[in-house]
Amino acid sequence: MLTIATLLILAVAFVAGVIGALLGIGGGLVVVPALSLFLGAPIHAAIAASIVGVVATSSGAASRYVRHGLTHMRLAMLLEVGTVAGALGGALLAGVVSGRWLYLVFGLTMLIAGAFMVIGRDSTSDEPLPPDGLSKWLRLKGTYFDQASGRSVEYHASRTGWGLLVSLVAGLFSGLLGVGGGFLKVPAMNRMMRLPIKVCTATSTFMIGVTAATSAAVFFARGDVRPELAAPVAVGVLAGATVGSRLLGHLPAVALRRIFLAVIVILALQMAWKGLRG
Amino acid sequence: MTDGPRVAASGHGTEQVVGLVLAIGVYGSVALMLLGALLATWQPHPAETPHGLVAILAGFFAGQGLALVQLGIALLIATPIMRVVASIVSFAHGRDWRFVVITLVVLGLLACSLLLPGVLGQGH
Repeated sequence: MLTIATLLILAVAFVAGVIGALLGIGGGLVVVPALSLFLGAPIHAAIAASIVGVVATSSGAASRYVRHGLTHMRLAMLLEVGTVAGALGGALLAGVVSGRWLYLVFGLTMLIAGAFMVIGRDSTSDEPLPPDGLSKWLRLKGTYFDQASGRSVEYHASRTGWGLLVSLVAGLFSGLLGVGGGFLKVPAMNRMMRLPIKVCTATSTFMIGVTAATSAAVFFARGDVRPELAAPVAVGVLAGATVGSRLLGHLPAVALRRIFLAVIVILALQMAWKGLRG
Repeated sequence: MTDGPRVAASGHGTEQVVGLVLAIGVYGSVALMLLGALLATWQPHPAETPHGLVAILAGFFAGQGLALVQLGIALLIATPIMRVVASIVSFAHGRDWRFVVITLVVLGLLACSLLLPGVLGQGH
């Protein structure tokens, strides 16, 4: 099984994992276009392989985050009701949607994700809002230790219903396209629910493991997960993400972000074009 | 790393256990995939990729590399699901019944994801 093709998939997945980690996205947004555009994999197989890779990277990252106490496990479990339901629907939908549509929707989704990255995600200046009823009933509050200021920061969730709705949509995209959906959830948790950005990132990553496992289970049960593609993708993207997150502090982050953002836009246009052309 | 007090968002030191479950699942599955890929390199390619738990386990006990890779993928997918199961125990231990119910809903949806493709006849 260790053929040239396997090593090529491994290398492409590794690069996608590095880019994903440097951009702060799971890697699925880069893996799917890389497999389908460069390696000629059918888009359904690329999506199934990518979602297995997303399970690996997010579980790996979550196992580190969770020990730092940044993850709000109860909030994660509540929002997972939304993401898991969405992922189930998305993965079932992916089984009946034609490849052309998947290319088109993927391209458009990538453009939206790129736009979110440009607009920026952190909004510490937003006024805190009072907790809503659901947030109070489920005690969605917590504290985390902020290394930058050296203090404990208290926070609570607001607009929990909206958070659940965005989670449902993020899950739907995750299952349909083989991506994590963090690009939707993190800004929503930060700006709508008014949670600290570090808590948003950690909690979103934690949730993505279960979200991606839901759709991966659908693809696996359907026989869409091809081991000769999915295994090197999972190993490559996990290794790439690990290296990428280590490199993060040592590289000119702003310049790299611009370059990779350009890469994302080009890939997005290619995907959309492939969908339009048929 | 020493980074000050680790204030848990949900208490009970559950974080450490969950972190460990995730790490074991991920690195265990990677080990299975690598071992399987190495084995498969020296084996003739099987006529059919083993799909389904029965075929995968049969291939595993026959020492088939590709079945080992499939088992690794299955373990990877099962890892976050095991995390959800572990959460039920921890919420019940903390008498957080509202979250026990919420977690059961998530588990129910996960069960649907394993069963629905077959029920809907989406399998190959």
